[in-house]
Amino acid sequence: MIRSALFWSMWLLAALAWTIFEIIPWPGEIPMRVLLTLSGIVTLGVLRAGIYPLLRYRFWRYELRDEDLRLVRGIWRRVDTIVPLRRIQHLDVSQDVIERNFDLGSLIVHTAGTRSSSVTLPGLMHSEAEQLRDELKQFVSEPAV
Amino acid sequence: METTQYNFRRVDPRSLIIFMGGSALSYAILYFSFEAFRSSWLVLAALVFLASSQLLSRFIFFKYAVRSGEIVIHSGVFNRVRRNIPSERIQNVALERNVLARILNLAAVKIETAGSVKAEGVLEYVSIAEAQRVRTLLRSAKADSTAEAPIAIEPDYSMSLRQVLLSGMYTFSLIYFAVGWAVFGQLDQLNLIDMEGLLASLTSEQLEAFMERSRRFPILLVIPIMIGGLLLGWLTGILVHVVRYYSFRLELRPKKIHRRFGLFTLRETSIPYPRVQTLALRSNPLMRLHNRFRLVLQTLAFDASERGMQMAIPLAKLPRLLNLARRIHDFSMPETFNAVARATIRRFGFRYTVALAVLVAGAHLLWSPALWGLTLLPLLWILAWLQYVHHDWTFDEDHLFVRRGVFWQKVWIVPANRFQAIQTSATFFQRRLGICQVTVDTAGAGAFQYPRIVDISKEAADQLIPELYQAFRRSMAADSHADGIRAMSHDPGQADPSGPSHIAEHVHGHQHRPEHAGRHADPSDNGDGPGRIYTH
Repeated sequence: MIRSALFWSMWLLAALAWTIFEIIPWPGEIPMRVLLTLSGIVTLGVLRAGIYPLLRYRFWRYELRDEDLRLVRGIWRRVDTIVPLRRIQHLDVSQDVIERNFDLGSLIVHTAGTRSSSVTLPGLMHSEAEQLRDELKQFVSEPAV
Repeated sequence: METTQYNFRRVDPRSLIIFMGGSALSYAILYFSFEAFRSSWLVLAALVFLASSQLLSRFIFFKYAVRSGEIVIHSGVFNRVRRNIPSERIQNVALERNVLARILNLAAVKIETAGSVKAEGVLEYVSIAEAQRVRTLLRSAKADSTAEAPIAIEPDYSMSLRQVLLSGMYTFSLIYFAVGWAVFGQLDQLNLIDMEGLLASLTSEQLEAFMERSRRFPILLVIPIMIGGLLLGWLTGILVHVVRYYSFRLELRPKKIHRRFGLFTLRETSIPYPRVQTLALRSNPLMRLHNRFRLVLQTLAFDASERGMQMAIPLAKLPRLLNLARRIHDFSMPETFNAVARATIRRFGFRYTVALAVLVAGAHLLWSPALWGLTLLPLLWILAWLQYVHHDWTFDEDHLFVRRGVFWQKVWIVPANRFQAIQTSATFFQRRLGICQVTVDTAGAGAFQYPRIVDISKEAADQLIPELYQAFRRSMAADSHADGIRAMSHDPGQADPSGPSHIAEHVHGHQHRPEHAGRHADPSDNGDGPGRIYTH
């Protein structure tokens, strides 16, 4: 998770630098307006790329208990979900290009529900995601009564 | 070859008349709308094209076979699609008859499965006898529906035209806006109305005077328009209601709920009791004044025409409605409900204030008197207070009851054994006010309307959540048989490229892979799970 946060920071900072370079080679002195806008962008960029992932990481917790999976996450809106294991329909482990780079992965838990029919556990180590999936899989394949 | 086991049939040839009727109508619209479509050669070519494509795709290349246990549908001219729907996955077999079908004595059979937005298999159109045969075969496959009593039962609830009209009077529909807009656009296209001429003729002196008067007293113009709009909405509401629910009939049979309704399109559907996920009582202030309510059911099958909620009782006095509802799902309406936290008034009041401020500020830039809009502020706070008054909940060990809504009010009844996930959430403001939102997720439909307790106090929620969860576990232990929404084992390691979709459909050539057949009849599955369709 930490790694994904760092990676996202780099990614966003690169995008930010690109935006800045786009503007700087402008001829003549830089007007106040541009400076203000720029500092705004920088502040937002630092917040978005530096602080947001850290907060996101800090507030993301999951817990596998005997009969359920509990997830607590969110910075502005804190969400606490209890998914009973017997309600799990199927499981996906996903890994995008960036995640693959850092050997990270996400576990997606699907239920038959409507509102939270799938819950995602992002930023797990890939092996960890697979291990968790195998653990949860037992509950899925357990024959229905 | 597997084909030998199946006895493939085509749809009734008379359905070609209906298809052609539809095509001809859509072409007629094009013909009248665009100059370019008015050449006789084009008409001929289009008709030949439409006729042949319909003939090919919906008659010659459309075959189906029903056995007790599954239905197989082969369709597609170029892409041959072979679709098997095992009957355990079928949520509902509905018969639908529109006007033309009724004239020709035909019916459309719609096979609905869970997790699908529209009917998974549609047979358009077959004779009534054939439709009934299909339905009986698909139903008889289920062991639990063998002892089904034949038709001709006295309905448990039915509506005369007078009652449907009465029920319609409590509704309101703005559909005329859309229809009026479309019709007006068409008229303009057809040049039936000379818009410029119309405007020119209106610039008479009388009109000038009228305009002048209405400029001075805009209220003279606004009030009749509003009254007219409301009246029109009310009348269209009645009309829409009558068209949809004409001769509504509900039978609570031993194993399922059977419904039949409709004026032009007659719908006949049945819902097995275990498929009912949640119940909801709908009402508006006038209905509550007369102690009349509607009962809707959230089921696994997603019926788009009813926005995910199936109408069970369009209108009934509360005691009668509760009696019927109790036969669908046993519960007793609690006497008292718990109010949500008072802080909700502050939260919503504040939210409305900000929204109004933004709106007024924006409008003020264009039109300075818009500042008067701020006088609406007390009204918004009254609204926030009304929302608080109309929102409460209670939990009776087996059911969660949530009442919400000032105008269109709903009372949700969620059985504990239907919970899918339990969720609490709190935004920054909610945390500061010591309140949160509790949502219970249920399977099936209703993405927009779902039971939730908004702004319950944190302490109450902390107490409620374990109670809900305990009740869920108790119910699971008690009737693990009746429930168990569980799919067949599915190895997530082999990530399906089609993603988490409930329906895996593959379109390919002519190979049959009979080994799949074994998976259709999974004895461990009682059919509550989402629809899975295996295509060979």
